Amino acid sequence: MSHATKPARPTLREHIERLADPGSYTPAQHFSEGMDQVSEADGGEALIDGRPVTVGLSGHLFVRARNRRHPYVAISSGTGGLARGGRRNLVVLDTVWGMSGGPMLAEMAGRRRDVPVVSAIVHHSFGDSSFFTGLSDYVVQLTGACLALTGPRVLAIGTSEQVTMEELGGTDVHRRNGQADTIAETLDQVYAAIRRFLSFLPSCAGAPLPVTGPGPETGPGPETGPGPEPGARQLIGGLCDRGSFFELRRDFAPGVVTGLARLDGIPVGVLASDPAAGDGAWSADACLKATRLVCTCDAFGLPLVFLIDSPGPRDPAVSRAMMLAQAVQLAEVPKCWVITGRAHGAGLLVTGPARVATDLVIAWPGARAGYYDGESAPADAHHWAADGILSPAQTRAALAAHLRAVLGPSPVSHPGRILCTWPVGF
Amino acid sequence: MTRPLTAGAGPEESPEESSGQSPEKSAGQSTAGSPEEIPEEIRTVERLRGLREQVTTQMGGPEAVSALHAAGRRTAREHIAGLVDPGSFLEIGTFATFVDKVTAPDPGPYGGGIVGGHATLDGRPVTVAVDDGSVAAPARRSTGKAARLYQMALQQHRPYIEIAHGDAVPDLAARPGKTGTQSARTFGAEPAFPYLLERQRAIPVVSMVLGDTSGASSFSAGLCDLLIQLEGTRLSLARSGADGKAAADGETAADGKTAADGKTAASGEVDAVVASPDEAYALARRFLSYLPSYAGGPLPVTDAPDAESYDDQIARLVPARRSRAYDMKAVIRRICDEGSFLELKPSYARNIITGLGRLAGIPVGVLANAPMRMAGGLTPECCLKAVSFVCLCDGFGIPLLVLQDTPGFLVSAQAERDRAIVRVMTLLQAMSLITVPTVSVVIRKAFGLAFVILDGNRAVDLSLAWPGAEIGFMDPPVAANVLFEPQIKQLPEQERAAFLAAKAAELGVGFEPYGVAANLTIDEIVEPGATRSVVASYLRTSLAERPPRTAPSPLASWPRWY
Repeated sequence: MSHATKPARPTLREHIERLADPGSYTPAQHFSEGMDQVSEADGGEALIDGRPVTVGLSGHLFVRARNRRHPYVAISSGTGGLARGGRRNLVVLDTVWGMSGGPMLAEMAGRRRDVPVVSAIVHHSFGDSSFFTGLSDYVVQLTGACLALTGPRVLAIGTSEQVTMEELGGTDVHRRNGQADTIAETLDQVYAAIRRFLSFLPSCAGAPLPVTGPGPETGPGPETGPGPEPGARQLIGGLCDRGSFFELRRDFAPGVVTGLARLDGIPVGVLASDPAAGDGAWSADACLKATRLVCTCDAFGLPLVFLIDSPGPRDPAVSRAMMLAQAVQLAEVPKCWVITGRAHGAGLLVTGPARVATDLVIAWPGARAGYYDGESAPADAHHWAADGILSPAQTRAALAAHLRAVLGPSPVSHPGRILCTWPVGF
Repeated sequence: MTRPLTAGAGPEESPEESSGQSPEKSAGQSTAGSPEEIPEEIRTVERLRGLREQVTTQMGGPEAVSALHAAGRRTAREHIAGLVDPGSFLEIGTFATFVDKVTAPDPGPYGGGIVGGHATLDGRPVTVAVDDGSVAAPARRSTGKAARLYQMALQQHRPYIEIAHGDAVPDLAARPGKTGTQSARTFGAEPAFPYLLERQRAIPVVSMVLGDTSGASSFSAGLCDLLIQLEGTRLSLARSGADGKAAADGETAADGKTAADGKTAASGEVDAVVASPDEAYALARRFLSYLPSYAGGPLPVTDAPDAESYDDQIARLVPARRSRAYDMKAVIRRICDEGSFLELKPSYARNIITGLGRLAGIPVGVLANAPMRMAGGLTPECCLKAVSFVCLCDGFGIPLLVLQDTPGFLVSAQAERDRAIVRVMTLLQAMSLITVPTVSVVIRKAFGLAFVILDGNRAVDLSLAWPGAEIGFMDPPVAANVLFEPQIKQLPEQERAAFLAAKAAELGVGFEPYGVAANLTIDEIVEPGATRSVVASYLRTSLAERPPRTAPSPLASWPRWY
């Protein structure tokens, strides 16, 4: 799509009506909690799949969502404070504070992932319209919409750099640098992605996990055997409920695949090294990608499933690898590891030592572990594989049984207490 | 070493004996024969002395020690002797050995690849663990020993220092207690690997990379508060050579650290690159002198030098014309106690300055823009550097002083590709979560989001500005251009410059500090000459009346680098 093509520009009300359950939208009417006067133009409450959310323009009603303990969806579209408040405020003394949406930013920056926050970039978003994405659990960007701190016009005036919207902050930029979790081609895809993301999460930290009925059976389990190595997505598809895998940041750090899925109806975060991309090595970016998923899942009580097949030591920056190892260690949700092939080097690092009763380690026959691949041993020789050497076909049932057992009959999200304050963007 | 020694045979030892060597005995002498006439209790002591002598002098073997020396390197014990106060070292785990050697007939080499114990630095207790370079790599490092030493440091509320110069294969797969095997139980039930993963800055941790380092030895570098690296050394998760084929990957070129091509300094992970081990020891000592021995502990406040007098020189360091550059470090040095400023990460993201100093004897963290570098504009790397520093200060209760002179975040297509939004917002998040007393001073200019963030988004305790400061939503000339673009377009070419200048001047009036002081966007306008005394007296009273922390700061758990 050429940068000259203007995306269709529905009003906020139209966005919300297409995103939410039909007829469920109630625009904000009055003064709102701790905020400036709000109006219908700022958004309001609606239902998504029967569950309440607050939808607002570029983060303006975030506090309402937090007070109501349900998700917040920011429809980001606009040039930010300059357009909204800048002109109006220029002559008043409140320039800086008002312009940058200060009070709102303060609330968002101090947020501890108590309610899920989603940002949808549906039109060019600069200034405070862009800021919120850096504090959101999930960002979906529409092709043709530009996301950047400042727009090309200010850039040209301030720095003489001439760039197009697409070059500055188009979807090609943010699919590669990981700032967009999902790239959507159409508005309908944007709405569907938001609904899908929220479907895996509780309404707020501590609320019941949205477990669906007994999950649809998958096939006979992941395919293994002679022939090309199955990619991470095939493995995930084989282990999780059919069609449930919702991938995040697909084109960023492809050596590791991350996303949300369901296992026997239970929402989980899935993280898999992908032997089909860069041999499954963990790069520095892969550590960032994985850490974001771990933090999100820990904050909202989603169990984590790691599928590990990673080669001998590759070299992410030491601190980034340790950051991920720290996140995995500090995560308090149930964690399951499936060693599908090689657990070496940094891949072994992130497996960490499972040591809590809620953790499960499964190794497939032939799996090998050891820090350096030249010195690795079959996984069953290692103590941490003692939970079980299982065939791929047995794995799904074992994971599901374990999660059912540790979560109990009516699973409530038990959010971690530490990672919820970690950086939101990685 | 032919005589077997069971792991449980370590006798009670007194500090004098363990720290001192027995010069009158030569290695091996005491183990040769035990005359009948000597009473048993003396023979057991002599045996201990002999063994200790052997362990401490021979380490991994005379050839290995000579090889180290020939390569210009030091043994673990030489490192410790250089680092700690003379005579203060109390060794722990002298007779520890490798995991798979515990029940072997010949358990050596002793030490388990690490020499460590307790000591003092400038009279304050610390615990050290040093790679034993005389033990041939790839030895399976007994990470259990480092874990034990760290655990002791944690329990005793004292800093923990690791000196890394080896390639140890981490025994990550060991799962102590899980199967109850004897070998898994070597150093207690502590898991081997995660001893630092859950540290959450409870005690200061210093990691010194004083030789090529990889494997388990590299882990503390990613989890410490201060990372010092010796010039010319290599630090990575994987060893170089056959196994480390990734060393030549593109990924490594970007993120790895190879001092030979200057990558060490380029990576912000390293706080300081040093030319010699002695420099590293001195730096560690100096760094720890600003920190409490544990999070929540009393700050090491020194005798207060004069902080009352008016500084009539400092204003002259800052040119009034805001396009003129000046040395912010000179301003920092005048505000801090003389000679107290220690810069960290001096060669990374140099448009922001981070370092520790003292103000009237009180340790402070200084975060300052550097107008000498890109006019003090902020890049995504600056945000990384600032976040890492703020976490350090907040984790250990060190007050923060922010000195602002920045045109804002440097916007460009490259910055957006470098994840500017996420980096900037993470800095905002960090500044919003600060729990230590924080004072911000706008020295000359502060615009837009950069001001909002560096001012802690109104989370700072005290927000000051110098009388010549400009504070606004955007640099006035750029703002005029952006705001009045439609009018400008309608003007004839020759009138545009004057129109712009007039509009910029109009905007500029609102940017004077009196404007933002009027609605308390800043709390006070302060004379440059009084800055030091105002901040010092504020910090003194603020710290004196501060209630003890009831919960750890959220930032204490943040990664050291993200």
